[in-house]
Amino acid sequence: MNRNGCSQLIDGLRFVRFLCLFFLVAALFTGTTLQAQAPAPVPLHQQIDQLLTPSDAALPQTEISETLLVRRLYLDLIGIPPTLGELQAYASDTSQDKYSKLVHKLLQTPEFVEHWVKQIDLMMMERRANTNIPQLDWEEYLRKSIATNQPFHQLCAEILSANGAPGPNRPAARFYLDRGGDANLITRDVGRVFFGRDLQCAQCHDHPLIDSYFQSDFQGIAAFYSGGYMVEVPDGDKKLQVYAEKSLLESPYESVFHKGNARRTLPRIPGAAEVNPPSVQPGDDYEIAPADGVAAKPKYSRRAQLAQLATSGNVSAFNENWANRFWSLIFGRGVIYPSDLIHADAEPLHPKLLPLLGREFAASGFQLRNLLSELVQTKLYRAGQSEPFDATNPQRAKEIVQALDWNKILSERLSRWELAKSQLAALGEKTGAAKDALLNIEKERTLLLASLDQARAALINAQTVQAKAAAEVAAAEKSVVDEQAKQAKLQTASTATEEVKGLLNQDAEIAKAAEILQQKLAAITASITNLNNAAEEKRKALATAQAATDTHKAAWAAADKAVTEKNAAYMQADEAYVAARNVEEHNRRISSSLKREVDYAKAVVAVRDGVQEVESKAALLAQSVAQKETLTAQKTNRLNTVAQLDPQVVQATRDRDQAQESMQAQQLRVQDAEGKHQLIVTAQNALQKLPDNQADPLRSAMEEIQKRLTESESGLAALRQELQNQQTMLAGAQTKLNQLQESKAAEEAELAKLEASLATTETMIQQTEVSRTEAASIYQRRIQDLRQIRMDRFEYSKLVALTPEQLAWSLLSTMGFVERQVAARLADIDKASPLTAEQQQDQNLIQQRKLQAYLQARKELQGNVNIFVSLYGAGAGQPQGDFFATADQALFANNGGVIFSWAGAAGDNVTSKFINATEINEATNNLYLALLGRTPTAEEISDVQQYMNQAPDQKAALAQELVWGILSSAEFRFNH
Amino acid sequence: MKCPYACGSTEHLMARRKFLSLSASGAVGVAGGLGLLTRGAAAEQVQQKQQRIVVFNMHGGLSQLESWDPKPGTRTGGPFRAIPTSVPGLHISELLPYTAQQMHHLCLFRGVNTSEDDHGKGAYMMMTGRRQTPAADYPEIGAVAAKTLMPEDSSLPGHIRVVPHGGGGRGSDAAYLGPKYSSIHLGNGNPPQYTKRPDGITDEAERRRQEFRRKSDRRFLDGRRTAMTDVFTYSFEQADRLMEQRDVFDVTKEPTQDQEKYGTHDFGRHCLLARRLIERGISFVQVSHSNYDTHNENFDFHLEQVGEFDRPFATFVADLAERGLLDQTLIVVLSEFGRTPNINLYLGRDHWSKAWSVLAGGAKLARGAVLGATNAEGTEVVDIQVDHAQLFHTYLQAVGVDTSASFQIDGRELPIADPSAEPIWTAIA
Repeated sequence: MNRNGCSQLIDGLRFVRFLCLFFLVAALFTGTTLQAQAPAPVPLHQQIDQLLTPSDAALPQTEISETLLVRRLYLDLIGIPPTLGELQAYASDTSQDKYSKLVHKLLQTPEFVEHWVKQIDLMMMERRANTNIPQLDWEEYLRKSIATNQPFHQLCAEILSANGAPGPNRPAARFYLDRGGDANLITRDVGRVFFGRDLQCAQCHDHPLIDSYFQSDFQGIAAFYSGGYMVEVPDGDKKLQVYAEKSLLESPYESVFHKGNARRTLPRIPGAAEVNPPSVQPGDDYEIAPADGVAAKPKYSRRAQLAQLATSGNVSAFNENWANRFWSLIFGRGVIYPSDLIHADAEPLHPKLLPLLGREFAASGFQLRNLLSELVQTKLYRAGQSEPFDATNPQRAKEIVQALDWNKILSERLSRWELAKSQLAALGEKTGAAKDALLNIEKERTLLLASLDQARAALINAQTVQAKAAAEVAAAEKSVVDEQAKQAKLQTASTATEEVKGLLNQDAEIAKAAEILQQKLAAITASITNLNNAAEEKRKALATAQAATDTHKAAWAAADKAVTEKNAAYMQADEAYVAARNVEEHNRRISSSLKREVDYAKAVVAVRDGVQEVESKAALLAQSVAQKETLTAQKTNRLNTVAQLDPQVVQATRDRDQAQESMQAQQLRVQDAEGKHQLIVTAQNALQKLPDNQADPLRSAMEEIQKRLTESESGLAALRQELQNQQTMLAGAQTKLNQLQESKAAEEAELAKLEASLATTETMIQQTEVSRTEAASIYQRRIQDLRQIRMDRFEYSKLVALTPEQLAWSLLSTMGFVERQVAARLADIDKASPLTAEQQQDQNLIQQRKLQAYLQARKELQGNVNIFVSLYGAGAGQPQGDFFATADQALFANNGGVIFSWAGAAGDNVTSKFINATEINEATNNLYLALLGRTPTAEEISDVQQYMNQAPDQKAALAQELVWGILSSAEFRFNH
Repeated sequence: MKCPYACGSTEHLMARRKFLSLSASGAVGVAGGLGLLTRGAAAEQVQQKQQRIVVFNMHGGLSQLESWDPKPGTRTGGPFRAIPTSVPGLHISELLPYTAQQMHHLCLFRGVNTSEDDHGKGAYMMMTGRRQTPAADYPEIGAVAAKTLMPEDSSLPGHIRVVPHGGGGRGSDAAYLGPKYSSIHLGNGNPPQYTKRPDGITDEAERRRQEFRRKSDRRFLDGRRTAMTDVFTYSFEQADRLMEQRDVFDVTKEPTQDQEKYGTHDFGRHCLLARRLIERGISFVQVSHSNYDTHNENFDFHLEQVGEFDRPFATFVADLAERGLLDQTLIVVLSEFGRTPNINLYLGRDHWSKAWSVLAGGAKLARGAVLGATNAEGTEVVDIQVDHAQLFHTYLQAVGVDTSASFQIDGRELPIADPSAEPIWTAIA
C-alpha cells in the first residue's frame, strides 16, 4: 500500500474518477438516474418493485392465484392459514383495494401479535433455555410491545440496555441473562442478531474468509460489554441474577496472527464511527457502586450508549439487519443470505435494496406493521410457483430463452461487472491507506490508554489509601471525643465529690474517693493528650494521602487529557476510514450484485446452449439414422446385384468348361488325324523311294495313298478349322466368365465398403445417442440451476417450511380447535359476569373479552404446540431457520395419533362438513380450499371420489384418513 | 482439512460453511438431513465391516476405588478387597467378580484426569470430548458414531439411548450434525416413540391413507422438488422401513434362557437389548446405570449398584466375544467423573475428576491392557495421564474413524474430534 503524499494524491484522483464511474455503473445497473436526495413520495412497495424491475432483460414470471396469495399472506402475517369462510369472503369482495384492506385487517389481529412474538423470540433467543427469565414473562413482555405497536427500535433499545434488575422490565434482559452474561457469546450474538454480522471468527484475528470482517469489529462490540457481569441480588425473599455493569475500560487484545502488537478498540458498531466514552474521574463514575448483592450502575453506561446509538436510526448495520431479517421472514430468504452474514461480498438481490429497506424502516419510526405491510404489497410477493418452462418441455424453454439475445446481455453484464471490479482495487487501497493512518494513531493512543489505565489504577489506589486514612482520622477523632466525654463526666463527678469532701471534712472514704477521682481525671487528661497526638498523626497521614490523591488526580487528568486529545485526531482519521470503508463496501456490494446478474445470464445462456446442444445432438442422430437407412438401402441393392450375378457366373463357368472340354476333344481329334496323316505321308514317301513305282499295285497304292492324303489333308484342315472355332468359343466363354467374376468382385468390394460405412454409422449413432443423453441431463441440471437462481431471486416463490409453532397452530386452527376453545372460554367469561344490555353495545368491552378468551385458549392449547416444537424445532442455540426432516417426525405424523385424531370430524369442523355434504364435487372443492387454500384439480376430485367409494359404509373413517393425508402432506408442511 | 486458524475455533468452520454456501445456494438451509446427498468423508474411512459402539454410562460418578482401581488396606481404600482377574497381575474390586473374568477382553484406563467436578460439565466433556463453551455446541459420541458408522441408507436410527424410565423421544445431542443423528430414546427399553400404529387404523386403512398422502405429495412436488422436499419425502420412507423392523427393539424376542442369563431387572434387560440392537446393525447404543452420586453411604450404594451391574455387563462382554462381535464393537464404561479417595463424614465419597478410571474394550483396542496408574492412595495419576479429549479420539479411532478428519456438512468443515488432542495410540492394537 502506498502511503506517501504523492500516491495519496494519485489515489485521491483515482477516487474521484472512480466515483464518476461508480455513479455511471450504478445508473447502468438500475437503469435509472440517481436522484436519491429527492424524498420519494412513492410507497415503499412501489419503490421495491421499481428497483427490482430488471433494466435489461428478464424471463417471464407467473403470478400466484388469488386464493393461494391469501393463504400465503395469512401464514406470513398471522402464522395460520385462512378459513374457508375467509377465503370465500375475500373472493366475493369486489373492491379494488381489497388486498390492502385485508393486509391491514390482519395486522390488527391478536393472531398477528402472537405470531410475531414467536418470530421475534426465535430470532433473539433461538430456543435457548429459560435459565433466568421464564418464557411466559418474556413472551408477555414482547406481546405488550407488539400489541401496543411500540416502535421496534424502542424494543431493541430496551433489550440492549437492560440489566434485569427486579421490576416489570426485567424480562427485557433475557437476551443477556439467558446467555449467562458470557461476554463472548453476547458479543457474538449482538453482532448476529442486531447487526447481521457473525463476527465470531474475527474474535482472535481478522476474519479469514470475509474481507470486510475485522477483529476490531468484534472487539468494538465487545468493548460495549467490557463492564458486564452477573451478580445475584435480593428480590423480596428470592435472589435474582442480574447482568450489571461496572465502569471498566476496554481490555487490550492482540491478533493471534500478529502477536506482541497489543491493540485497543473503543466501543464501535460495525460500519459506524467509534464511540468515545466520556472521561469520568474514578471515584466519580458510579450511580450505584459495585458491592456484594448489589447491581452496580455506572453513571455512563456503555451498554446504554450502544442501545441509544444502535437504535438512533443512523446506524445502517442495525436498520439493514432488521429490514433483512423481516424481509427474510416474509420471503423465505434474506436480501442477503444468511441473515447473519451481511458483508460486502455477499451477493445482495440488489445493491440498493437493503439500504432502501433499512432507510425506510428507520424513517417510518421502525414501525414493524408498516414494514411488513409494504413487503407483502410488492409484486414480488405475488410470485407464482408454476414453471414457465421445465425440463420436459425443451421447445417451450427454447422459445423463452431465445426471445432475447442472452449472449449480448451476458457480455454487457460481464463488462459492467468487470468495470465494477476494476474499480475495487483502488478503493481497497484507499481504505487500506486510511486504515493504516488510523492504526498509527491507534498505536499511539493504545500507549496513552495504557498510561491512563495506570493513572486510573494509581488514582483508585490513592483514593483507597485516602479513604482509609480519613476513616482512621475519624476513628481517632472519635476516640478523642469519646474520651473527652468521659473526662467531662469525671470532671463533674470530681467537682461534686470535692464539694462533698468540703462538707464532710473528716470522711476519709470521701477524701479517698476525691483523690481517686483526681487521679483518674489526670490520667484521662493525659490519655486525651495522647489521643490528640495520635489524631494529629492520622490527620497528617490523611493530608499526605490527600496530597497523593491530588497528585494522582492531576496525573489521571493529564493522562485523560492526552487520550482525549489523541481521540480527536483518532476521530478525524476514523471518519476518513469509516467513509472509505463504507464506500468500498458499497461498491463491493454493487460488484457482487453484478456478479449475481452475470450468473443469472450465464445460467440462461447455459440453458439456451443446453437446448441447442440437445437439439444438435438430436439432429446429428437423425442425420446418422438417415444415413444408415440410405446405406442399408444401398447394401440391399448391391446384395441383389451380387445375387443376380451369381447364377450367371455359374452358367458362364459351365459354358467355359464345356467349351474347353469340346476344344480339348477337338484337339485330340486333330492330333489323331495328324498322326494318321503323318503315317500316310510316311507311307507315300516310302513308296516314292521304292525303285519300281510303276508296278500297278504300287501305283494304285500310290494313288490310293495320294487319295488318302488328299482326303486326310482336307479332313485335317476341317478338323483344324473346327479346333480353331472351338478355341475361339472357349476364349469367348472365358472372357465372359472373367467379366462376370470381375463384376462380382467389384460388387463385393462395394458391399464391403458399404458394410464398413454402415458399421461406422452405427457407432456414430450409438455415440450420438450417448452424447444426446448426456446433453439432455446437462440440460436438466441447467434448468435446475436456473430454477434455483430464479427462486433465490424470488422469481418463483420459495417453498418455506412452517416453523413448528406455525405448523401446530395451523393444524389446530384449520381443524377448528382454536375456534371451539375460544368460544368455550368466551362463554365462561360471559357466564361469570354476564354482559348487561348496555355493555352489549360496548364494542371495546366485547373485543376485550374476545381477546381475553383467545389468549386463554392459546394458553390451554400450548401443550399441543410443545409436542411439535420438540419434534420439529432445532436445538437450543442453533439457527432455527434451517430445515430438517427426520423419521420420527414422519412416525409422529403416521402414528402419533395427534394429527390423525385432529383430522377427525368434530363439531362443525372441515371433516364434519365434508362428511355431511351431499354433493361430492362441491364438498371436495371446499375441503381443498379449507385445508390447502386452493380448489382441487379434476384429477384430485376423482381421486377423492374413488377414495370415498372404497368403503361407502365408513364415510367418517375415510374422510378422516383423507384429511389426515392432506394435513400430513408436503403441501401443508410448506408455505408456497 | 484441519482448522488452520490458531485459535482452533469451530466457529470458523461454521462461518466458512455459510460463506461457501453463498455460491452453492442449492443445498443451504437444510440441516443435517441431507445424508443421502452428501455422504461424509469419515464414513468412507470405516471398513466394510460395520463398527459399533456401546457405552455404559454410570450416572452420578462411579467410584473408581469400588470398581476399577481399588486400594485395599490404605487410608482411602474403604472396606472392599481387590480380587484377581483373568489378566494376570490385574486386580479389581471384589464387587465385580463376573467382570473380573472378562478383563482379558478389555482395556482399562487408570490415569484419567478431566479436571471437572461438575455433573453437567463433566458429562458433556465425556460425551463430546470437548469442554463446554457457551458459544459452540458439539455433538455427542453417539451422534458422531451414527454419522460415521451407520450406513447412510439405513432405515434404523444409528444413535440409541436406552433410558431407565418413562417414554421415548429424541435427545438434543447432535449439535451441528443435525437432528437426524440425535439419539432416539428407548424409555425403559420400549420401542421408539410412535412406532405403534394407533388402534383403529387397519392395515387396509393404513395402505389407502398412505397411498393418498404419497400421491398428493408426488403431485405437489412435481416441478417443485428441492433438496428440502427430498429430505421431507425421505423421512416418510424411512419411517415406513423403521416400522417394518420394529421387532429390532423388542427384547422379548430374545431366547428365554438369554433373558434369564441377563436378569429380569431393568439393567439386565437393557444390556440384552443393547446386544440385540448392535447385532441388528445399530451403530451406537448407550445404556444407563444410575445413580452413583454417593455423597452418603458410598459403600452400601456401590455394593448394591455395582453388584447389579456386574453380571449383566460381564455376560454382555462374554457374549460379544463368543459371537465374534467384539472385534467390531467398542465397549466403554464411563461416568462424568470418579469419586474422592477421601471418605467423608457420612461415609460418602464426593466428586473427583483428578485421578479416576474408564473401562473400555473391543474393536481395535488392546486386549487385557491396563494403561496408566494412580499412586498408592489413589490421590494422583502417576502414569499415562489421559483426559476426555484423548479418550474421545481413542474411542473413535478404535472403530476405524480417522479423528484428524473433519465432517463435511453442507460445505462446512468441522473437526470430528478436538484438533488439539491426539488419540492414545498405545491403547490401539
